[in-house]
Amino acid sequence: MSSNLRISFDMDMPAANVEIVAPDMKVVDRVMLEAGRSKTVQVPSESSFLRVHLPSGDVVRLDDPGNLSRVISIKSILDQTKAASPMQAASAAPVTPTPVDFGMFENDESVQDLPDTFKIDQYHMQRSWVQPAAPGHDEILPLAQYGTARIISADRGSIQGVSVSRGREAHWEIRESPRSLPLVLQIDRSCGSILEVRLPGDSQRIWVRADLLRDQNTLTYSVRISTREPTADMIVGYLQRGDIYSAEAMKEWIEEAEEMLLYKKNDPYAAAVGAYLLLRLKDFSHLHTWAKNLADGFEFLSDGCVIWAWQLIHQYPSRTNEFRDYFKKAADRGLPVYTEGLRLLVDGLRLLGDEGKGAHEEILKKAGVVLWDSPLTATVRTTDQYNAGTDTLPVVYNIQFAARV
Amino acid sequence: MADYPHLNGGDSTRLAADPLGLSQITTPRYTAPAISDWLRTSYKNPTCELGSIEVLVSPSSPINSPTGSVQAEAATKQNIKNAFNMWEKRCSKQADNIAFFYFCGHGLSKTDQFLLPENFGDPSSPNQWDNCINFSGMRVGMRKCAAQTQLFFVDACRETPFGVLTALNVSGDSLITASITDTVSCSAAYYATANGKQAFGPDKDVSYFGQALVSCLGGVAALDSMGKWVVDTYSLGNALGQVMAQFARRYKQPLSCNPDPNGMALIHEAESPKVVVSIECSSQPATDVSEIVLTQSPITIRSAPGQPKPIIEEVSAGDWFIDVLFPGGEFPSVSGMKKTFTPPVYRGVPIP
Repeated sequence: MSSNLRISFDMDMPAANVEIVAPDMKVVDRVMLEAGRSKTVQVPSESSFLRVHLPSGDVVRLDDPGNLSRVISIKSILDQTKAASPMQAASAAPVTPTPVDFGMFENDESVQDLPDTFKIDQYHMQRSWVQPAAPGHDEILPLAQYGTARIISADRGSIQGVSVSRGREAHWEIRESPRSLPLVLQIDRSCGSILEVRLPGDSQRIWVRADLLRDQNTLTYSVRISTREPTADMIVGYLQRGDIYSAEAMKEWIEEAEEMLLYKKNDPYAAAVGAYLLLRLKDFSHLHTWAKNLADGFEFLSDGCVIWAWQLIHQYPSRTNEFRDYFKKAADRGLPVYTEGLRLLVDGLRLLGDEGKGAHEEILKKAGVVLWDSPLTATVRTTDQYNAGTDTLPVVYNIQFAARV
Repeated sequence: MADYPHLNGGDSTRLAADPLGLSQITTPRYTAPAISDWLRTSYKNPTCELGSIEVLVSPSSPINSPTGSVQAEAATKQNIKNAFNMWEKRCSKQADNIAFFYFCGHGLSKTDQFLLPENFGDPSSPNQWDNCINFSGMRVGMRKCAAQTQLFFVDACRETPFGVLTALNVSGDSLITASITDTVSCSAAYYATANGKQAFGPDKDVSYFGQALVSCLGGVAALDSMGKWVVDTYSLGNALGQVMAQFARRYKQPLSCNPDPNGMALIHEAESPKVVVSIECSSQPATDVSEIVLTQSPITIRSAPGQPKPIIEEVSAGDWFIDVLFPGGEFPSVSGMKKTFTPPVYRGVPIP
């Protein structure tokens, strides 16, 4: 016998996709929920359970057979995950970031090389709850003995940050308008290799740490970013992980957010994320002229041009001149902020054949070595001093949006 | 003959002028038959039955076929090109065909992804990049193919440091080109992102990515659809990432996967749903001294104190019982916890 199941997100919850699963394991529905919101879904059994696709990529299952009014809170999530155990006190802190004495990090393993990628991800989840209380005072920050990091703004030069965990981590807090120019995070290694990550101008917190993974003999530079629009961060995360069903469930947010993002909050980056999702889902009815407005209204951003060009190809394939011009305009503006955009730009220019050849070659040259598993465009280049003889360890750049759970 | 005769460890009289630090790998010769066998014996899709399989392996070796063992040709650039042309032509016969492409071997990833055939770096060729395939170009070029579902799996071992790559002016043959008016409704690519030979796979065995793919297609990526357990391009992307994350813990390697599914399409109907479980205690001290037992009669999976944890195993979906015991009495034992494991991954953190 079917029943109505009401699912509510407590005020501390981030937006997320919730799968409602019947006892026979059939997915009954997928809904997007965010803090303070609730939805009612018809379920075939009171024993149906929930799977929450968290921003971290973890999927948490919540059982409460017989309860037809489920409230999901951070606590209920943490009770199901290992993240709760090592630093329960920090994890259970209020959602509003509270300055925490970094002594708790200084005395634990945060100052040492972590053992594996799993621990790196756990560490960053915990780290996202707390941030350095001290104001930034350095432009070039150490990453233990493994290099240095800095953030560069096209119009303001290097941004000051703070070094923590005895010089292993670099943190920045950005307080700029969401329509600021994109930033670039630069990680310099002593061998002469440089990683550059394009950061959205609506970034709020960025931090980087370096570890020579004890169990995996791999040098890892892990980067976490959070922007003013955590829901947009989560959508990019879903897309990056290939969790398209979850990303699809977030369409509702985009439909509601379009006007707000583009015109009221003036946040072209979050708007671009919404447009990328709609493009991937080929949902042109909701995309309408959103991408064109992004392309024409924000000249510092190539992402809007790429999205609009592809939308034209799908919807109006005869408007050849127009989409060719937008691809070229995108290439002239430089590399897109989002990796999704770089992929679409390179593919589009390739498909233009001889007409796109010059721009295509230019983009290949600008991009060099691309880290395609990063959600944000990340490229590696070398200086004249590059020494391959000292670049012998496997290197992993682990770039993700920050997630508390 | 080595798999890559012109790379390090190959034929010392015919080595490439610059082998780019790349050496021999044994994994592809085990992975290719595993994927081919899966397609031949397990693949099921009533809307698109298996048409043909084209396998190239280096060194050339016997491969199982419906009519017995046949000798697979070596995966040289020319053989790949010939096989690709025939494959593309067959795929193009019908729009509802599925084109399935799997590459296992060395790769170079710059802005484009390049695949290295057996004879890459042949010193008799004036151009170092003659025997190199531009996969990114190939994937885009496949828009010309009429098959509207196209699946690509790039299981490439990346050994060349990023810094060395930046200086290389890599080029490769795209094998096919398309125009801007060519379209495809579903083009899904899944990339293994292992860095370094160790992360590629165990010596003389199927690559980690190949193992994860077979698991996912076999039911770990399955969703219930009208009473059938189907694997589609979206569910596969999500499941592959989650399974690789668990393999990273099991094999202590920095493994991950970069899925890029553009468009949703049915790939396979699995016989039954499967789950990769990852079970441990919520604290390391408890994990170290615990005995964890998973039971679904008549199957029992046990990890005694001191044995590797978390338990990471592929099991049938459904109800299981978990016992967490502490023979030394360090923590209170808990027995008979009933849990329903659902695809793709169950990450349990029982007490304490």
